[in-house]
Amino acid sequence: MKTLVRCKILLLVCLVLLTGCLQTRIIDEIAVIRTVGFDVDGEQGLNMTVSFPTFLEQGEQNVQERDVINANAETVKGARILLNEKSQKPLEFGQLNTLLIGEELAKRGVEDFIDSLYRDVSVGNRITLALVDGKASEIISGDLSGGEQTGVYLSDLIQQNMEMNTVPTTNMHEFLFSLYNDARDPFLPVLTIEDERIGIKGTALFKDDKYLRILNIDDSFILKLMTTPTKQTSKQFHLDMEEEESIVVLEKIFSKRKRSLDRSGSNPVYKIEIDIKGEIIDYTGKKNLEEENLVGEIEKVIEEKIAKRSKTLLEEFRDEGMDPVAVGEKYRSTTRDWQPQVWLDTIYQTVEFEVIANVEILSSGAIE
Amino acid sequence: MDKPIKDQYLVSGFLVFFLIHGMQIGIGILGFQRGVVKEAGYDGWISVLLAGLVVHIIIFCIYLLLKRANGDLISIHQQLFGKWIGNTFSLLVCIYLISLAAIVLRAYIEIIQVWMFMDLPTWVMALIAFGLLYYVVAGGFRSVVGLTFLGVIIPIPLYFMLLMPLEFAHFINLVPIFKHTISEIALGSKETTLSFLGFEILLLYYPFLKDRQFTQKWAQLGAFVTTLVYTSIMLISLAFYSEEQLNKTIWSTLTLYKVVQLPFLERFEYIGISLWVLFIAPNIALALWAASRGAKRVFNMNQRIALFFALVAVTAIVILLPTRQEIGLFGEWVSNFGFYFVFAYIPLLVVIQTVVMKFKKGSKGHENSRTM
Repeated sequence: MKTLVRCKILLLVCLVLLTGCLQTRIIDEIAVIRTVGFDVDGEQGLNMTVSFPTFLEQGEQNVQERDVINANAETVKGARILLNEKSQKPLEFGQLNTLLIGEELAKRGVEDFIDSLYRDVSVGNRITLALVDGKASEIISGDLSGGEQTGVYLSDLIQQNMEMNTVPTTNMHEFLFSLYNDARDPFLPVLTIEDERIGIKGTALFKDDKYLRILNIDDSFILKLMTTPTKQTSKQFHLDMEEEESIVVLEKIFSKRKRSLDRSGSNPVYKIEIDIKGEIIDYTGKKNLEEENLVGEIEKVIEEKIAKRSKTLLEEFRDEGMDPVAVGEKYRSTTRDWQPQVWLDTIYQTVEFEVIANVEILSSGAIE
Repeated sequence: MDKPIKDQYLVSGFLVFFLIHGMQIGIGILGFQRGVVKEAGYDGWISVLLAGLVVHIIIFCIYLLLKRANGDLISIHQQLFGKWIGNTFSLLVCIYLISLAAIVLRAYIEIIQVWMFMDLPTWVMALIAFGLLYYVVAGGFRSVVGLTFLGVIIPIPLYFMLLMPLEFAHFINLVPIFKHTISEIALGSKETTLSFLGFEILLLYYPFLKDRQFTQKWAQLGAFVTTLVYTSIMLISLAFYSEEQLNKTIWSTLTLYKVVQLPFLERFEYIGISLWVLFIAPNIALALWAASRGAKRVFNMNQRIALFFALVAVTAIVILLPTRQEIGLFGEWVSNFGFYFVFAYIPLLVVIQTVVMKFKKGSKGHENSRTM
């Protein structure tokens, strides 16, 4: 019995002593990176900018400041070493929530850089990615967030716009999913600096991992309708009806989309059906919304607008050889003989598109 | 020849459900998807189902063997091959079980090192595991079963967390099914071996079950639940990842946990990894118990001493495998040995046993019912 007790005590002592074996990461003694930006540096190089909050310990108020450091290297991990050399405290990536990519770098291809973060287990899977119109370092180092802290500010801004507004939803996982998918191309929201504030400019379209072009906000909304079901989005439409031009704003837009691929004809026909439900919250026309048919007419005009623009966009994507809407995925799901290269080179170019939009306006606000 | 096990050491028959299921779920589940997808692509889930089906057949074979011999693997070996050759085979199985325990422990420590504590030395964890495992296994079979029972019950919520990544699921990935040939799907099944292994320890603990002849339904149910779990995780992974992305991701299941976000917890995988020890510990404990039990039966030695040596061997193997490549290579050896042991040797044993029984019946009548 005595030996057993001794053994147990020894075990406890061991456990207590062993806890000192690992390096601790106390929150005051590390720099918690919230935002990372990648830019081009010269021909091959990478310019990496990180920002992290710093806390002033002395004084009456707890002031939260932020610090930005910047380094040039060939690889992400190389840049990290250089960044550490400039930092007072060890840098930790565990709380990273926004990754910004400069336009120039994106044109060159982003796979290596995002892959490097994916490899790092401390980086989350849900972090927000965005492309920057210009240089990522300008957004990170500029004091453009109206007093708010850049770390949370940027990801909140982008997330909020994805959920409530008009850019299609994406995050690191979804970007990688599309990137490594042979029947899909990724997209990212685009940030820009406008009047000393940061704002969303549209959606960046990629072919494989290379940035191709930007879609403006209106087209981003169409892309959003075609890629993901939406909830609670708001959108303004210009209506050109026979009698007058007016503006109508729809709120709480719930949309669903159904895709199908008809391969019976000589050319495959990709058909997309978008069901939209929303509420009118603003209307500038002279007519009374309670009037019969008017809501029906508005519905029809919006339907036409969306269907027409969607079709044009799909055709543009096809001609440019990129596939953010995942037309290929639908084709892959209906064929047993899936060859990604053949699809991209020959079949995709012959696909024809058909878009049907069904708009249903549920209510029109509290006044006539 | 074999002394019957005393009543107070027996466990209820239905617990074989937990023993089979708990032993199968372990380290393999964290990253079995990659190997399968490399062979069978988006049809990987069929491979998993197929492997599960084969496991059912093997469990049937094991029961056939055990019922006829009315003993454990060591007595089967002795009956069929005589004392010396039989014991040599039994010893090989013990070494395999020790390696299985070692690879599971090493793989888990590797995950802790990659995901949580980069600077954690292997020997620290190995030493802690040494103490814990000795304590559990020295308590006898009943305490190992207790741990296995808890190891199945407590982590159940972890499975439900895996439903949350469905937010990003693209089930269109899965169609059309059967895009791959049967042989590709079969190769995919072979890749899942390490994840399904473990149920063969039934060969050693069978005499410890009450009403053992009637426990087959529980064993089959345990294997069925395992297949169900693996197939669901495979389906979730296939919908969540694209093919090339899955090929790149080593611990796909852990990466699934990365997207789980709770209001009070941003990164769930750290909880997941810590709780995973509840899956791992019964695995290692049961393998060690079986290895020491085998050694006891072969050498007629004290089981605690056998256990001590087995644990020293496990610790040594764990410390001697410092890099990913070595762990991978060793894992492949164990997995290959296990594959041939379970899926080739056990059916072969059934055949040999049938032949030997016929032969003995011819010469000695009902002589071979003398055991027990």
